[in-house]
Amino acid sequence: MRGGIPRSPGRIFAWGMAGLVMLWLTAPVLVLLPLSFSGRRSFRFPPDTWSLRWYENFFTDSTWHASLLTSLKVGLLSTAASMILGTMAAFALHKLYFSGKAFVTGFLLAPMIFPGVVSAIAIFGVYLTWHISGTLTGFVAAHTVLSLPFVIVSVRSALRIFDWELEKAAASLGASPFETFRLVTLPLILPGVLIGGLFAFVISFDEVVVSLFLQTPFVRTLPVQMYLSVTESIDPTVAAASTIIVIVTVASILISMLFWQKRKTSDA
Amino acid sequence: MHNPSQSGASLEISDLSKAYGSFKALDAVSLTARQGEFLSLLGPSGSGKTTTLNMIAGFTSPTSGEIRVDGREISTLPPYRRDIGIVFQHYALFPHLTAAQNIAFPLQRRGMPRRDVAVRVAEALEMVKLDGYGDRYPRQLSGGQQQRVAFARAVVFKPKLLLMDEPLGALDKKLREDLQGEIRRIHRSLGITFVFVTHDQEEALALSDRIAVFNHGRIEQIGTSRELYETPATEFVARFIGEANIFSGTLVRGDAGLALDTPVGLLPVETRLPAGRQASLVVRPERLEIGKAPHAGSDPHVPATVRDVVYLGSNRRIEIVFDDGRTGIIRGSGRGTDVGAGERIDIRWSIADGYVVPFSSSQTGDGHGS
Ligand SMILES: Nc1ncnc2c1ncn2[C@@H]1O[C@H](COP(=O)(O)OP(=O)(O)O)[C@@H](O)[C@H]1O
Ligand SMILES: [Mg+2]
Repeated sequence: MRGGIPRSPGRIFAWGMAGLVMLWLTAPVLVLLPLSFSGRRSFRFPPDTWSLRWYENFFTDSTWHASLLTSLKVGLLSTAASMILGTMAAFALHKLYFSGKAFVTGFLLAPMIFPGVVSAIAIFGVYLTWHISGTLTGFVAAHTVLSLPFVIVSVRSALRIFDWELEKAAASLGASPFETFRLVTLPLILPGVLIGGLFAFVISFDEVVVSLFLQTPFVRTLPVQMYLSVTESIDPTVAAASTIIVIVTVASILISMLFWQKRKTSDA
Repeated sequence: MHNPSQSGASLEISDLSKAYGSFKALDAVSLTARQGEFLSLLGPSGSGKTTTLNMIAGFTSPTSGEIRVDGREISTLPPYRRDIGIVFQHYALFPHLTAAQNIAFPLQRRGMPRRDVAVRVAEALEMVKLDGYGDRYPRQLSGGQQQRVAFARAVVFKPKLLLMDEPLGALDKKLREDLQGEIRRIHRSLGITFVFVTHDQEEALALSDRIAVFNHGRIEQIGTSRELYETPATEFVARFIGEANIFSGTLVRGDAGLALDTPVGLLPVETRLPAGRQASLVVRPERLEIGKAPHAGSDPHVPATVRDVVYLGSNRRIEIVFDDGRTGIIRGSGRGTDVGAGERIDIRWSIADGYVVPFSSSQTGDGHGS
């Protein structure tokens, strides 16, 4: 690591800037982490006494841990759904030529840039007539729509570098279209699918706006529970919850990176 | 040892056409490959060779026409049911599988038991002289090694027909020659029918039992190397296969028989074509003799100027310019060829060594034979 030792003023400046940005990004965590171990029911920083009571509360009070469970369920289900649907959509957009393709593409990618609150109201309105507001199905469907574009974009870029002659080769060797997909195409575009899935999970896991409209006291995601808790009372459990969210998010990124590393070394 | 007639399929293509809009990529092509034959499809780039191969493989559907393998029409079969081996120009090995796994792929698709797969893969690796390389991934192999793996993978399931689309096109000359030798050896030992696409006439001449010469989506001629060289059907074939001196003109009947009236003189010819027809006379470079003074006998002869002499070891290649400005080539050895650039000479040939082809207006093809 020669770059680790700053030498020129330019280097020192660059490292200084990087350090500032890192501090800026992690500062909230640096405040929340100590707060979650506070001994008192207060947001005073730094805490003067220490305890694990907010974590204890998180895991004993069902409104808290049920919301974590809901978030995990919604996150995993919507990630699975958007990985499958997004991969299929990316394939269709890559392989087929049809009129109105640009329109369909734009339509599928729209949730990426569409104002969240507008989507939220639209989804809420439709759900009222479908009677799925406040259900797990409703949450999963809404989050799938929001994360779908990220999977599509990342699978499309994987397909762009995929060598289509490999599909011909597989067919000539006796593989049916499904076998070809399972044994050749999918393994080779898997990095793109997984990156899309990681995005999808992270997006679902900290989505607030749509979830706020869809929530009921019985089905509520963790970020929504946190928001409601802060508006209603002074409860440092929210700091413990934040720490848990950070841990889950960082863990999912680390797991994907480990997986990566393993893939790389296993076929190097 | 295999019996060639058992392990190779016959291929019959009749009136096969492929149109892209109003453009005819392939125009009523008919050809046959006999069981166990090595047939090359030779032609300039864009002449329809890959299109033909893709239709045999099932990747492209014909606009019209029929393809029969061992007498059975296959146009309706999807590619994965055709049981035809294919070697691609850029290898198309699966990058996430090892060489051995690549070769095992077609066997596994056919539900072969594991132990048999292992045996067959080992045999196939040995056949292409890559024993010990089974655990390597494609990117850990050189281009030539990758093409050997691709070759092993395409024949390991014992197809009766093997298609190859410029399989050596991405390799350098030395490697290409080595692999040509191996392809011939494997063809002989397996007895499979090979259909080999190339734009390199030397490669086609070296490998094939017969060659189909493609031009503009049509076949100009099918024949053995020798037939194509000695009795080309068209001026295009004459130019594409080997080197040729070509004189064009009108056939006329004179006192001494038929002659071709060309810008460089009246040249006696032997042909079945009638007088009055436009035609071209093809004379191969090694059939020409050099005289220092105009020929006095009845053989055809033309004056020319030496432009360049290239020594090629055993023989020489002499470039000449005729008086109408067109160029020609002489190949030969010995004292007669002892000439220098700028020298005026008289070239002659025996009337039987000239071959007359009908005149055709479309003398084209990007990339003529050299
Ligand atoms: N999908 C396609 N759409 C339009 N034209 C095509 C297509 N595929 C091939 N062609 C045209 O058909 C002709 C023959 O192509 P090809 O069979 O690939 O030639 P070769 O293999 O002899 O070089 C070329 O002019 C090519 O541009
Ligand atoms: Mg081609």
